[in-house]
Amino acid sequence: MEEKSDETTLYDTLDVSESAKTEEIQRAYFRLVRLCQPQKDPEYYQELNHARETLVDPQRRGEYDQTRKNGSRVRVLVDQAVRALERDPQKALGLLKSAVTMAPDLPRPRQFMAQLLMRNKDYALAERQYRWLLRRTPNDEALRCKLARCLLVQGKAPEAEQELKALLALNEAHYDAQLLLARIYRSQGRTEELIDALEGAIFMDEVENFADFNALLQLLMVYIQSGDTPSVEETSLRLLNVIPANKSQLATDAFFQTVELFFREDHFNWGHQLLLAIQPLPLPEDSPAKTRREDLIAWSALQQEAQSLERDTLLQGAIRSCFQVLYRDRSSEAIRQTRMSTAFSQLQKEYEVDPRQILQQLAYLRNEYPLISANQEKFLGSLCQRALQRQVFLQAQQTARVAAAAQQPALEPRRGGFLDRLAGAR
Amino acid sequence: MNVPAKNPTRGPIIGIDLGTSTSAIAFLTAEGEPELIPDLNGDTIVPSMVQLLPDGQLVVGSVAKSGAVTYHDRTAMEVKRLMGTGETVKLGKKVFFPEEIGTEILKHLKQAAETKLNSEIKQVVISVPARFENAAREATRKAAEAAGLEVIRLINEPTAAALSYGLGHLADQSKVLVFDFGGGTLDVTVLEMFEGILDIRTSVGDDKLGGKDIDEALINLLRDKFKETTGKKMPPPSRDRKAAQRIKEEAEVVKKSLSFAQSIEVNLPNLITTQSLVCTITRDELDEQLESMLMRAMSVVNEALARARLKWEEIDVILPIGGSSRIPMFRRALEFASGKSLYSGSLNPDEAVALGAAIAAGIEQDLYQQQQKDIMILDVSPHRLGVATIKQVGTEQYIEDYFSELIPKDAKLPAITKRDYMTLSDGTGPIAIRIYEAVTTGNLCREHRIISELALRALNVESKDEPIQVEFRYTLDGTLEVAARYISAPMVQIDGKFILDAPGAGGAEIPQDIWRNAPLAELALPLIEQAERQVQENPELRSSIGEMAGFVKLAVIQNDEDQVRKRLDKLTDLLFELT
Repeated sequence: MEEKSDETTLYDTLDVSESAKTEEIQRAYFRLVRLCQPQKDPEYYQELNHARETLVDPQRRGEYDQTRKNGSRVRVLVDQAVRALERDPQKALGLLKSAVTMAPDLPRPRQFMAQLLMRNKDYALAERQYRWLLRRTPNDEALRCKLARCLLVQGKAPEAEQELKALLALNEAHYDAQLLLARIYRSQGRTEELIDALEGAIFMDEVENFADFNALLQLLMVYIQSGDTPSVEETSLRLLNVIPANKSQLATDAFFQTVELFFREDHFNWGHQLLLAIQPLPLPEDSPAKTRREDLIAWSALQQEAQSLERDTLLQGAIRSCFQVLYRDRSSEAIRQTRMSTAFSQLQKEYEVDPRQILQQLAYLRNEYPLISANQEKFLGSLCQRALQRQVFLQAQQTARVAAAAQQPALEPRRGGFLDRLAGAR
Repeated sequence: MNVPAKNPTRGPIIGIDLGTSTSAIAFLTAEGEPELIPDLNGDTIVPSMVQLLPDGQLVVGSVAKSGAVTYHDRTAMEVKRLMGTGETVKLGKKVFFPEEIGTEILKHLKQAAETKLNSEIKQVVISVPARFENAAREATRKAAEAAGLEVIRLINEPTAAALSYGLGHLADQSKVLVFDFGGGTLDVTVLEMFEGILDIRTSVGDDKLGGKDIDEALINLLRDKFKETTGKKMPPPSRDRKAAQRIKEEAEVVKKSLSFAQSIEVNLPNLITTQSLVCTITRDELDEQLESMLMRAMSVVNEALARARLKWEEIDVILPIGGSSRIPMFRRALEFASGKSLYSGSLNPDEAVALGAAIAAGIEQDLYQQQQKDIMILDVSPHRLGVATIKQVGTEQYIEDYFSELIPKDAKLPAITKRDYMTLSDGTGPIAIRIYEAVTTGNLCREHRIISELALRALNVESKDEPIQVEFRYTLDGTLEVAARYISAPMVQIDGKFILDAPGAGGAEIPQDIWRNAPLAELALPLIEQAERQVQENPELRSSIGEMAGFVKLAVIQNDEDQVRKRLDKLTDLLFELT
């Protein structure tokens, strides 16, 4: 679909043919400039400059030509692709590809294509699109941020860092860039740089306000991770101070996200600390957020226990897998039940062989991990009971055997004490 | 700028290079050839130094330079870097603005030219570094006015240098890189010459890199040598200014000599009491000191090439301009990077700019047109200009004072841009259009320099999402016309015209309602009112007290408390002098 041909094109402005080479365009421009008086007719001069600047730059000339020739067709294709984006990504990609082939210098199809490629996890190709787009508009912050993200998921942390730094040079207050850069520092363990970067971001406008929320949260995360308790306390106070009453919901959501980020990386102790640090934040009674906070605190405490249990080399075999199911398994109830019963039967087999060892481990557990939920308590109790019964049974067997052999071996007193304590604990 | 009237009785055609360390004046012969004029001391290259002798007489040039050791506290040098900043220099007990020092130098040059040409000089072209911000440009213009000169145009130094090269190569078609490494700044300009048209592509610079910094590196080297040879540390320059001045002059000699020789002997007898400095400085030692400066210089060159979208292969001529471009290390680096030899021709790096300025004056006065030689300069905007906006980055997140560019860097002048914006909230008050000159490449206004502010009155109480059109017209002589209007009601509009400069400097006076509402206004109000009263009573105080008050106001609207206090102190000094 050709656009109106009576329209004045940039080629007309410079009085050159559409196939003119750069050299000819320059000459034409100089010829016309010599005739025009820039001071007296700035509008015309402006037109000449615009035409020349567009046409001597291959990319911009391509963009211009393709918009004129295929602009409307490409627009239709892209619109179709955008509509198909959710329902049929494959079709959308096809449409966008043909749009890009038709007009390789137009930015819009490429923008959508990059977006789609990111969604399809085709990062290398997406990176190419982003880089192309950035060459066109190097000051576009959103684009640069997307490129950095794309680099980061490909594991190209140094390159991503470079892009982010370039972006922060453009706009040092860029929220997402700070977040991403901090993530890179965090993953590389560059704590000092991280703290510097964050404190720098916070002090930029001298007043601490809600705009600094994110940086303060990051800072708190860093201190929690480096185990710097005084700084944790100080920072959490600063953090809570910047949250205005009407933003507490927003802030809480951000906290939960961060906590989950920690949890996803199995750092339950950090998540727990963070939750405790923000506990003073006033939330409306019986709001879902408040309930969730309490739940998360309890849950993270449990997970911490489970984690240390897991790392504990003294725990082995079936009892370990039992606890894993109890604490860690987030599968559906049915699956948990099955796994639990498997672990139980496994455990039972071990009772048969050596209940003493099981008992020892249980005792150790109670000693070492005093914080135990009702659920755990129950489970632990039932295990103790079974083991005890088994032990008593075996002892009786042995006593019988010994009696039969007309000998009287005494129970070891220490073991007896243990058993008493366990039974008493129940 | 009004196109100069075709005045048949116009005076001689004069161009002036007002440099950081040296200045020069040139006139155009009837044939259109530029020629330098020696000053009354007999120098064509005049040191940019002004000295206040104890008898109250002001001397300029090599006389001032030769007395710089004796009267180190009465000599002003390298003030160009301070132009338009609101800083002052002290000669003896008297306080001077950098502009006033500039005026003295210009008067000195003017006098020389008037003696030589035997006619009064009125109109001149003065060169400024391409990187000069508009405040500094306007300061230069004012310095000239005070010397009784009318500036018909300020020309960028690299452009002037290219002109002096171009005059001899009128028929050429070539791409030229001008490496202008002067006393205070490095400017790299890339331009295309096409049969007499000088098409400036871009000018990139580092205004904190120049011969002065090289001197400083050498001074440090000499001080280290002193410690090495005598075992004693030299006192800081503030403690022994005489010794510091001697070292400084020696450093200059060393720098110049090492451009030709491989090593030089230094001998400063009795530098500190009876201790003398006797040592040898080799070129390698100098090069070592210059390493980091070289890196910076080359990155400026590369940026200029990138902006002009040219590769080294496409550059035909490399013009080294400015005294510091004589230093072998920089020449070698340029030759190595380009694979070409630098243009040596008949161009003297110290003279080219003044000669070019004279040619520019000739162009302005249509001299060449009459001679059928067609020379035309297509100059570009040295900085980005734009307005402060609020940018939405998320559903609830906004970035305030986001720089929205209207005139890009390297836009051909005159440039006209229109852009549409939307109001964000229901406005009950006027909408502030704040105009900024970009200092860095960043996107935030707080990094940039505010020029002024216009207030567009609200259209109605609920004017959310009301489109507004802002129009910038930036002309060749640095005047920015700004207009803002509602698209739905184009009759409701405001216009402002600014000579892009520091307020109070004759151009844009900062409107009362703007600076008085700024948070720091209270701090400055009493003194400014006093200053304004004084100026009203004695209009001749406008250039000193009135101007300083303007600088205070500027700092107030920039919300820069440090600067406000600093400038208030200076204003107090000036007011105190009256009593």
